[in-house]
Amino acid sequence: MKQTKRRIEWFSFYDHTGIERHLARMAERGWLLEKFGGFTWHYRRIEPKRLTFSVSYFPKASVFDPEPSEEQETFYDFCAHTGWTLAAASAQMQVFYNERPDPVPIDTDPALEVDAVHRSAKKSFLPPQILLLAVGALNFGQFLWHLFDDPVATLSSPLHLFSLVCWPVVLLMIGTELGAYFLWRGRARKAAGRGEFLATRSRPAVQAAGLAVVTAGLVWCLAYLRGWMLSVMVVMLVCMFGIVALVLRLREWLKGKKVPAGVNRAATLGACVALPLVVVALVMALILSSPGRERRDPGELPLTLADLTGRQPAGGDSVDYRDFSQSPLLSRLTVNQQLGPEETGGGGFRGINYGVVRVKLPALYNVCKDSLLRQYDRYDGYYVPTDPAPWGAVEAYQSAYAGGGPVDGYLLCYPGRIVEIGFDWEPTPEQMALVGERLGG
Amino acid sequence: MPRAKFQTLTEQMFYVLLCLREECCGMDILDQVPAMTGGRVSVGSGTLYNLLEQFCGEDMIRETRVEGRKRSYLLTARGREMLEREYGRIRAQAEDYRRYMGKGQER
Repeated sequence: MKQTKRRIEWFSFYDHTGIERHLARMAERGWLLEKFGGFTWHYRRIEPKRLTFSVSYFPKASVFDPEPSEEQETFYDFCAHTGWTLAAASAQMQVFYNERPDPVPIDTDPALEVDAVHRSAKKSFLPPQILLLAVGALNFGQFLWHLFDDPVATLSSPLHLFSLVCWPVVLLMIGTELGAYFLWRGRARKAAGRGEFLATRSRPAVQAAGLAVVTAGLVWCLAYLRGWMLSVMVVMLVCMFGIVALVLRLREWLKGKKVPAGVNRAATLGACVALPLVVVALVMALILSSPGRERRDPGELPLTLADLTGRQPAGGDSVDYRDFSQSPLLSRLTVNQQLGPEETGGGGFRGINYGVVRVKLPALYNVCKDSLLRQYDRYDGYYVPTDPAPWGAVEAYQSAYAGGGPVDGYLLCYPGRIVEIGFDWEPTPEQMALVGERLGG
Repeated sequence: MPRAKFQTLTEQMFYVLLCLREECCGMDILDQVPAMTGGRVSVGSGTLYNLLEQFCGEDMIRETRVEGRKRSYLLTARGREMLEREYGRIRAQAEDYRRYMGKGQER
C-alpha cells in the first residue's frame, strides 16, 4: 500500500481556514501533511482519524532558514504545551495538528492573527505577486502596442496571439488573488475590531481555470509553430521549468547544508538572475545559428523569378528565402529571391520580393489592408491607387516616395488575400497577370 | 475599527499582564489564565507568543530569566500602570452598570 502521496493544492497563501478544513478531511482519509511549499504537497499515510488543524503565521521565519530559529522553537514549545504538534512548515506558514477533541486554538486574538498574516504576506506573498502583475501588465501593453503598430505581423504570429491569451489571464489570476486578499484583510480587520475572526476563502477554480487556459494556449501555440521557432520555444519552456526546479533544489540543498539564511538568499537570488541569462544566451545562440529564414527550393514557392523572367537561378549568387507564419486568424508568406550578376549577365542583382497575407477572419481584412497601406508612412512613402485590372485584383496600389515618384512596389487586394510585391524592374502586363494568377487565387 | 494599540486591553491582554505580577514563563501563563478565570478565558499559544513580544517591545514587561528556551517575564512599572488603568476602566463600567441598572439586577 502506498505510504506517501503528492498532490497539487490550489490554496491561497492567506487561506488558513480552507487549508485547515482540507487537511482535516485528508486526515480522516488517512493522510497527514508532512511537507509543502514546492510544486506539490507531500502527505504520509496515517491511521484515519479526526484531527484539528491550525495554520499559524510566524512572520520572522524565512524560506531560507536552515532550521527553525530559537524564537520559532519557543513558539513551537508553546504550541506543544497546548497539544499542537507541528506537521509541516514553509517559510512563515506553520501547520499544526491537535489530537485533543476541543483544543484551545493557537490564535485566540483576531487582530493579532490578521497582523501576523499581513506581516508574513509582505515577506513572501505580496512581492512576487506584485512583480508578476507588473511584468504581466508590461508584456500585455507591449503586445497591444505591437497589435496597433503592425497587426498583420502580430495576428499571424502564434507567439503574439499566445500573449493575447496568456497575459490577460495571468493578470486576471493575480488581480483576483490580490483583490481577494486585500478584501479579506479589510473585512477581517473590521471583524477583529468586534473581536471576531473572519474565515478565509480560496478561489481554486479561478486559479485552475486560468492555468488551464494558459496551458491550452501554449499547446495551441506550439501546434502552430514550425521549424526553428518551434525549437526555440521548446528549449525556452524546458529551460523555464528547469530553472524553477534548479532554483528550488539549490535553496533546499543549501538549507540541508545548514548554510545561513542570508547566504542562501543571496545564492538563490543570484541563481534566479544568472540562470535566465544563461538561457537567454543559449536561445540567442540558437537563433543566430539558425537560418532564421528558411532557404527553400524555388519549386516550393508559388511564384519565382524563373516563372517571371525565364532565367533559372543557378545557386551560388542567388538568394532565396521564405518566411511563413500562421495563426487561426491570418497566415503570411514572405519570399525574397534574387539573381546574382552571373545570372543576370553582369547586370547586377535582380530580384523580387513578395508577401501574401491570407485573411481567415473576414472582419480583419480592412484592418490588415489599412495597416499595409500605412507601412511606408515612417519612410516618407505612400501608396497611390493604380489600375487593378492587369493584376486581376479588386484593388491595386503602387508605392511612391515623397519627391521620388512611384517605384515598382505594389499592394494588391484579392478576395481574402492581400499581396505585396516589389520588383527590381518595371513588370510587363504578362508578368502582372502571372502574379495575379499565382498569388491572387 | 481596529482597536488602537494597548489604549484599552483585551481580556486576554489583561490576564496575561495579571499573571506577570509575579515572574513566570510563557507556559505558566498558558496554564494560569484558564485557572484564574474558571476556564472562561484561554490564551492561544500563538497569541501569547505575539503578546509577549509586543509587551516586551512596549516596555510593559521585561525578560527576567532565560533557561534554554524557557524565558521568564515580569511586569514593569509601565505595564503595572496600564493594568491598573484597565482595572479602573472596568470598575468604572461596573459602577455605571450598578448605578443605572440598580442593585436588583446584579448577580
